[in-house]
Amino acid sequence: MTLQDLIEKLRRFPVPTACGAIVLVCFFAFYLRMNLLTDLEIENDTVQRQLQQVEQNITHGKTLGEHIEQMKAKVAELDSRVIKPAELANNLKYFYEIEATTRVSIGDLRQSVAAPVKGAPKTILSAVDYSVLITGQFHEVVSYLNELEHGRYFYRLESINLQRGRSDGTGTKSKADPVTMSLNLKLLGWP
Amino acid sequence: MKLQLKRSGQPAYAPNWHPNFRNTQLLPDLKVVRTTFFINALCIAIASAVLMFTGYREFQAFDLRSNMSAANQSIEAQRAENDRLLGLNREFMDGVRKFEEANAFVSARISGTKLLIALGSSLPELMEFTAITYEKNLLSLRGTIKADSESASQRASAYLDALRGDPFIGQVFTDISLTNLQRDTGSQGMSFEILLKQPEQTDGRKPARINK
Repeated sequence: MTLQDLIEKLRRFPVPTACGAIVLVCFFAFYLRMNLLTDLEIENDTVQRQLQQVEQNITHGKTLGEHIEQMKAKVAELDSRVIKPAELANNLKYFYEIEATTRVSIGDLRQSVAAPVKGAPKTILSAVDYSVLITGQFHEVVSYLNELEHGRYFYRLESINLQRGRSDGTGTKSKADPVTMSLNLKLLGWP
Repeated sequence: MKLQLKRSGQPAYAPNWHPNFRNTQLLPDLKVVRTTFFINALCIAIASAVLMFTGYREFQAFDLRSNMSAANQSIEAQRAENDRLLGLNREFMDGVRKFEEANAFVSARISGTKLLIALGSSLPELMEFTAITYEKNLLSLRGTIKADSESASQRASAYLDALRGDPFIGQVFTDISLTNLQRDTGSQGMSFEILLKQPEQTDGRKPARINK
């Protein structure tokens, strides 16, 4: 069968030929755009979710401005209670101020900033270490500790060592003997 | 010949009839025409179904594109406001994070004041501390009991019970035990050592706030 014969035959059956051509074109189009609907549905879902998110943000964000103002005020208050490790003189002054009000005697006072731990989660704030050696009557020492706990800066006790001193040099101890307290503590500070 | 009587239940009708003048020998064969008609009809039906299917898919694609276009326009229209709110939200979350860190920092602490006051108030007569040490969830109490060995043992046991029953110490330290009780030549009494342990936090949660 030659091409001429085929054309002749197709001419004899125009309706089936046209229908066959339509079906072929449709199948070809279907083949080419097989994943079109699925892709479009996924894309549409993404866009609709984005839209929903944007609308939710706008709905829920109506009072955000007001909350931000309140938050800023609170954060400023918090910031004022966070110690700056670089300002050593000011930081040590804080301990000496409490010493003056509680009548204890500070024998040793040191500030040290711990090196950041590798792999630790990144934080906005960090802890500043202090070691303090205090001597005084028991109630004065407790009072000093209380002032630190309720003081300007955020405090955390790491270790405490309280020992009764010997006032008369005889080795006998009495309740009036001063006590020596060695404190290791952290204050919340900026990195 | 006998005429049959018409039964009462049977309808009275005569079958339709007409003369058949068709000469079937001369008439053309209609089978070919019929076959062509049916084939054409079938082809048209199939082509129509395929066309409708393709058209429906294209309509769905068009509809999805229209929806996306409308959604994108809406997003673009609200983008400036959304970006502004996201910026505010970031600022807010930074503040929240700062508060969370501060809260975590102070939550893990023990109140030294309350600890010393509780120890001081629960200390019985004839007993006194020489050293109090707290480090890494472990509290060590060393001191003397001014009594003979038998009485000192009873006093030490009673003091352990008092520590366990103390509303602050008993709650903060779950494991309280006497680790040493021996004669102290210096004070003519007995020296003792008591260890108090805080429970370890092993499940990754923050330690319970113990600053009562």
